[in-house]
Amino acid sequence: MAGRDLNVGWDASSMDAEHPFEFVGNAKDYFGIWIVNVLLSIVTLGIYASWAKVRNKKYFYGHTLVDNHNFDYHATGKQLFIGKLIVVGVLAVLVVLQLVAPMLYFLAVLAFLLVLPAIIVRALRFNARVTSHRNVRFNFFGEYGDAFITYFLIPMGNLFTLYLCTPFVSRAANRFAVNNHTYGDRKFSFDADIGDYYKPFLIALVTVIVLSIVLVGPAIGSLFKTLDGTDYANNEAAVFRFVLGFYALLFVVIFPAMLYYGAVIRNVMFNNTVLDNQHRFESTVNPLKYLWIVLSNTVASVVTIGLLIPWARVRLARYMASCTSLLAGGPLDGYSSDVSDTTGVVSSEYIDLEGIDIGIGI
Amino acid sequence: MTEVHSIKGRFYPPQSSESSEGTLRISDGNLSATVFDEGREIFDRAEMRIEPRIGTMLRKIYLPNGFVFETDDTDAVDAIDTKKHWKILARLERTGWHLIPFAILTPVLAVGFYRMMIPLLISAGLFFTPDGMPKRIDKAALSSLDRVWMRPTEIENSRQNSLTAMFDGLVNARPDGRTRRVPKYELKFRKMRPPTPNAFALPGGTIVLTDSLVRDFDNDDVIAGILAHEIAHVEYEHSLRQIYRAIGMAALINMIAGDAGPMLEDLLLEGSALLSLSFSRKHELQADSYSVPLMKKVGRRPDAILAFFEALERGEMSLPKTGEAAVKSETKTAKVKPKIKSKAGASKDKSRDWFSSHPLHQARIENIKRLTEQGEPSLK
Repeated sequence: MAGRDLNVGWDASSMDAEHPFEFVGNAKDYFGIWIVNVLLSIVTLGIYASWAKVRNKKYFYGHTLVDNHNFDYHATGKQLFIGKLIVVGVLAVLVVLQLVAPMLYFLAVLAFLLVLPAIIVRALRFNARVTSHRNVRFNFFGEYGDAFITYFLIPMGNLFTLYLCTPFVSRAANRFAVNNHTYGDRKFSFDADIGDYYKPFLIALVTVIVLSIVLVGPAIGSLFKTLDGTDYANNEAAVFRFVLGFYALLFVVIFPAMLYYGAVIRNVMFNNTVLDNQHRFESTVNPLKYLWIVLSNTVASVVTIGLLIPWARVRLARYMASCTSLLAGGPLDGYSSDVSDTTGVVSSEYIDLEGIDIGIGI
Repeated sequence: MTEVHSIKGRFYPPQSSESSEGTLRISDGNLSATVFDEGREIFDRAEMRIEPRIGTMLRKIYLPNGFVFETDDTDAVDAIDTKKHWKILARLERTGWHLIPFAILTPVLAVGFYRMMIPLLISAGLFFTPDGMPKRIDKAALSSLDRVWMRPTEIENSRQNSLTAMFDGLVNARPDGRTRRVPKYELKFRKMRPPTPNAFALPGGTIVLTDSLVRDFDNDDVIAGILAHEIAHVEYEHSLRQIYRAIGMAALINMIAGDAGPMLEDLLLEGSALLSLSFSRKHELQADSYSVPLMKKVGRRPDAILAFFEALERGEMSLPKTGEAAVKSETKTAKVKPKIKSKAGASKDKSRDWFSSHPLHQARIENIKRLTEQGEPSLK
């Protein structure tokens, strides 16, 4: 064997032990995969992108180890490509409908909102079923009703409370996602205090409000002063300042605040998850360090016209893995898969294309 | 059987996480053998499925009996793998000097894609657009606008008739043959709520004039100039182009930065919105250039529209309308209240240009003046 010690079988080391997650990929190896992915995707006018996605996922799953065993991603490029074709086709029909028959489009959107929870369920199931660890697949058993409450009713309620109930939305999403997942035939379970969610939420909210007032308050003030109807020449400058201020606010304050909240929530989710009534998880992401990594990654990627994207992704994956542990309460190899078919690729591709956040966290 | 390769690794029984160490032996004939837990099984090697190589990831081989063999000896697996295309791919991906030209080629191709594929995509989109579609878009857009933003006009019939006659004159004087689809031109009068002097063209040839615009400009040449400009938008199919461009850009971003990570994708999407504004500025200049000879042909002052720009200079700057840019191209919202001598003209800077869907008026004014002076200006 070329050096790596394979931990085999039932041994004392997997009993009551802490197994840190470990990301063993590196930017040098990943760069080649990434650049070939992008190059071939462009050359094939986007067709290769589906196969590229599989190689990407496989690289990151395959280089993430727990107890010396890696994760694996089993979807095929062909599966993803067909799913994507169907999604793009449906979206194209919707675009045409929007242009030529707005009423019909309106109805289609309403119908679509009702179908969305089903799409999310199928996407979660697909992604679970194509993911494995130690030759055992994950699975997902969530149902439409719960998904409708989680992704439709509760967010609607949040809308009417000016987003002040966001922590409840997050917890519901975490509950739905974790409690319905299984590893092989064993269940994950999760619950957490709402206070754990409100603390980071309020910190983020207060920061956003204070920084907004300091940063763009003057711009908004001058905008309102000039919008009272007379001073048109100054309006132009005020509107311009307002637009600039808005972008600054978005990238300097609002996105970072959302990242901060997301990082803390990730800790809450992992720290309150139990597998098979015996294995616990631990996540110790430092939200400020996470923020620093994401922000510096973004700047580095932009400055190098994308060439540092592989380095940035590896860096983030390594940090996230280093903050995650499995606290095993028993042997890790007594599991078996009960999954054979993998349906739902269309839903999964839709979720992916639209970038919908379904609450598994980062 | 003569043994050629022997690879060490671990075996997982079907669907199970309970692995045990063992060896996979490959003969030079058609047979392979697995040895683990003192057990031994022989099978046809053609029935193995070998996972392609990805970086230094543990390599999996799916055996016909449902067992999965996993090893970190990826080179040994390469030696028994007969699937050529995956090997070529892995060789391309491997770290080496060849990645340097790839790294240079990729941004070049991405830019090339943007510069060439987007226009190609737009042309293809225009080609495949059914002939009846633009007119249907007009109907749909007009009925939604009527429901939300617009009320019936209050312009007197005689004024409407004279403006419609002027409009028909412009339509008939236009050089034909610009598009495969012949637009069906129609002039509509509407009262905007709140009242704003505005004119816009829908892709099928429906052009809407607002009451405030008609009232603010008594001079027919100004209104004719604006109408000629809107006719140009229809002739060049600018709205359809903007729709197809938006679709192409979304595809490009998805391809290059599909999941680039948090934040970066947001940044790219905002960037593309800014770029689409510059695209629509190009269309405004193009429409101005089209309007000048058309105005000369019907014997009106081509630079009369400058009065409109002057009003704009004194007026407000409107926010970029990225959302609506796809459906309608509006001439501009202008409050004509010539109260203040503007010093905004002097303080204009280039960066502000980026936020506007219409070129800074100075550039448009110069363009129209230059074109008007070319040839013999036919003044009324």
